[in-house]
Amino acid sequence: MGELIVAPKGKRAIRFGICQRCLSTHVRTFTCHHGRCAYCRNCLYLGRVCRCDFLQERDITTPTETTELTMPFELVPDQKRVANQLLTWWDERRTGLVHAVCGAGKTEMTFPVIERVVNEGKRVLVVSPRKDVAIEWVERLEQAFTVPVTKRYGGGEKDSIGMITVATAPLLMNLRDVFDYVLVDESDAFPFAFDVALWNTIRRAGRNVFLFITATPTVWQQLLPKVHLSRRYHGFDLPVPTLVKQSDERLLDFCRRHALKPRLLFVPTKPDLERYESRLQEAGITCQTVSADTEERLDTLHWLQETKGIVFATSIWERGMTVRDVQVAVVESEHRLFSTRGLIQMAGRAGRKPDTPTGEVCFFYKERTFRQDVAIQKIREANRR
Amino acid sequence: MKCLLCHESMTVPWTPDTLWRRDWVCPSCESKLTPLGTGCPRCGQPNETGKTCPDCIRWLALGLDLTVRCLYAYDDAGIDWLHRYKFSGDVVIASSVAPALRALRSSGVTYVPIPLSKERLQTRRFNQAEELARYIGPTRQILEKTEVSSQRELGKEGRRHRTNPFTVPTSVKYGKIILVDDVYTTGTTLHQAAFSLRQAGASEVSAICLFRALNKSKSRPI
Repeated sequence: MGELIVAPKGKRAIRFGICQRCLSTHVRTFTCHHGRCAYCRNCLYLGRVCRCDFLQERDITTPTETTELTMPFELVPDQKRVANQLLTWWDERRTGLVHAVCGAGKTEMTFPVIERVVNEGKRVLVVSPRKDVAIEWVERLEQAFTVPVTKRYGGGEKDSIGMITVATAPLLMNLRDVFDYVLVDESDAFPFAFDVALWNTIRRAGRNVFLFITATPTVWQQLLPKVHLSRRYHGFDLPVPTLVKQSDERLLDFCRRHALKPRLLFVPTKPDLERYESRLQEAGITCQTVSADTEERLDTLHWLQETKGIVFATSIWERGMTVRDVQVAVVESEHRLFSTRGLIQMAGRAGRKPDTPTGEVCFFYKERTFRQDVAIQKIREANRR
Repeated sequence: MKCLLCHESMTVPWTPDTLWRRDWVCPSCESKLTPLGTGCPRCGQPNETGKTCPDCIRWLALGLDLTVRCLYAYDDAGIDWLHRYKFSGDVVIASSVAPALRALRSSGVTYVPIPLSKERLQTRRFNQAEELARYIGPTRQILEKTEVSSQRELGKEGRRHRTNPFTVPTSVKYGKIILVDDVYTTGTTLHQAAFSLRQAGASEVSAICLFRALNKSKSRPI
């Protein structure tokens, strides 16, 4: 019940080689001021805990507040159906899955249920896979709600917990049973999907009522009660990718064909970024690259939007970014790092705004794989539904 | 195997200690710290000629003769490394510089780490110099330090003119002593410690330091 803090009394921070704060076994021994000791390397960013430290649970004492909701726009009937379903799930305290296509307005659909939960005096947590996505959540939540939003990701404040918290998973390690309602955004994305420890972190931080929101649920998430939304909020179809045999001419042709629109090209790995960038520069086209190492990802996003340029990105940008009228290409789409879900998400970057509801999506391939076919099939399926 | 510093997976080279070594550092992390090239023979301050630098001449004029062997430049990568090691408390990353330190080992020498004051040791929990000294050779703590304010905010002159906080409680019967510290900035700490040791009767004192702060930047006080 609350936040784990280092205190003079309590339970030992590291027992049997397991860190009691993050429950990892990444514990290393060293010489403390009193002699042989151990510390946890997994949760160093929360402040080091040593075997000679003690942990205590401190209750969250921030007072509960009520909030008022101003919707950024009126929900369309499809979105209303989903929002009502979320409200009934909350009343029954059930966990559920929202399976909505990319660009369906998933964020706004959850606002009514967040409002109700907060007004009942319960705490809400929004978990996002990446900091960029978290920042976007905070912006939208702050516009819609009157209560302050706590930012619990790298760069935000980490000590207080308000009614609505936006966080990335690693910074929830020291929380136990705090949040009554947990929204897991993009719940199949990279950090959670392969890391059981992070799942357990979220489970410990919450109180067993979850809502998974994704466009591409994993198999086990589909076992939960789910609600579908297979129309974008502007009512247009998802752009269906075309498969194009990859060659340098076709790649350049793609770049030249949409010379007046922003173009986003996904490549599998970081070395590929430089390879393709130099190849384009030989042809006299300037472009920028984005990977997990790029620090000014938001600047690049603005640059892409303003100058209508070309950006090469790794799969770091496959979720949670919106550019008006962007044209998407996936280079080397047969690469093993591009899963079916990743391909669907990348295709979903195109045509997300109501004034430009279409866009071209190209899967360049050197070989054909089932992943490409299944992705296209899934997108068609969503369009039919 | 995961890299000790960046946690990326890496392939471990096939060497005699492949079976025994636990911590591996990937080549890109290994090349981040810049080793010092030619410079002052007393403090490692880089210059082209390899002559004794003016700062060391000043120490010599005061009658303090101390040769300090510095390993790496205290540039941005060095600052990051040291912050992670000393202030975040990630002690095991010291083993990433262990091969370089171990190469300095010589026989018949006592390694004396620069001590922390009792209060500082309580808050930091470990002595960063002692951890480094253990990788070089047999250590022995024969110095004691009284509490003084942190040097981080002091300027060059303020650092130079502080009173000697080091005392030697027992009489020293060790032959050769090598002091070990993490950063050499003005050298006041090491010279004061060496002065105390010499007064207590140590015959030969020299020093090893992991980082050498460069006098280039104007922004940071040296």
